[in-house]
Amino acid sequence: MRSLEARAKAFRARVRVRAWEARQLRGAKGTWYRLRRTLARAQDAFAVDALVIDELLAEGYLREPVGDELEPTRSYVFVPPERAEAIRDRRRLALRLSAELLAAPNVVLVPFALGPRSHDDVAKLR
Amino acid sequence: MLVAGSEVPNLLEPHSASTLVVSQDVDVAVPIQRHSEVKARLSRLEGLAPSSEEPSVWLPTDPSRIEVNFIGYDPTETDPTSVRVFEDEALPLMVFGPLSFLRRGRVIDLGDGLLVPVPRNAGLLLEKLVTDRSGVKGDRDLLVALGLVMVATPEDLDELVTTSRSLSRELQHAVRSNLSTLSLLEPIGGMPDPTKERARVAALLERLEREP
Repeated sequence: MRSLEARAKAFRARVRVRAWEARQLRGAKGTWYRLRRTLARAQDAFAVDALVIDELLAEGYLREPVGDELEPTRSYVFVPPERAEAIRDRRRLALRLSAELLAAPNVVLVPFALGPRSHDDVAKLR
Repeated sequence: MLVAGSEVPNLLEPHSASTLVVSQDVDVAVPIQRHSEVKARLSRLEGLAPSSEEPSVWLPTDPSRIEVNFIGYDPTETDPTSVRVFEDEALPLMVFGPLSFLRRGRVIDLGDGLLVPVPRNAGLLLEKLVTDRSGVKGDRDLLVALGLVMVATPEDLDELVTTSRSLSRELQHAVRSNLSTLSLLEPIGGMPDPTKERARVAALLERLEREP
């Protein structure tokens, strides 16, 4: 019975930690969730040069705010697939929380085409 | 009783094809209101014996069997973050609050008179997605959730979305957070490949975030 009590205690501790983190979601505690959520929207990711990001911003695309929550900051910019294909020097990144992706300072993301909301998002980025 | 663990996606595949998940055990969820009835039938189990360290775990004595874990659930539980121990000399049970999402679903006929009751997909999926886990076990549990998403019908997903909207904000966030983690997992052998199902996960996340 002692082992069950220990498991219950560990479970309760995790629930308490999660509740504490949930209360701080709008702050730094929520950064990793917002980053995962941003990356989860993407079907493709590419590492690019800073100059490419500058071009995209000049064209009206927007940096995802979560990039500013990291230190050093990162640039994550969603573009439609055809715009991503037009970037000559791009290096495909696997979409997982890998050192490679997290180390890339400038990342172009291509969203999944999911429905009205995503199309709106893409339209807003133009 | 319901079979409630990683075997469920396998059982819900067409013809219970069992191609999705390689399991090392079977979780049997016991409603605590029926505990005495289950306990009375334990002596009929063949090829399994209770672990001396943990009597809720039954170990195979016959190499053709796999381990069985008895876990408790209380369908009347109103706090899905709770956990408690149901004490009993012969069959103590951990009673997990998230298992209160389980609702009886289909009974799957595996032939030779073997009928396996499984929960409704949405409830089990929600249980997997609100439970806070970490490490390899946590990743495997999320991939089991992915298996459930893969075999879910549109009605199952409707039910998941509707039920999740009735949860506290913290638990709704837990569901979305676990799905976002699932979307970025690396493949694990013998489990559904998350890299091939990212679009499905992204679509579910979108639905969960949309205003009702």
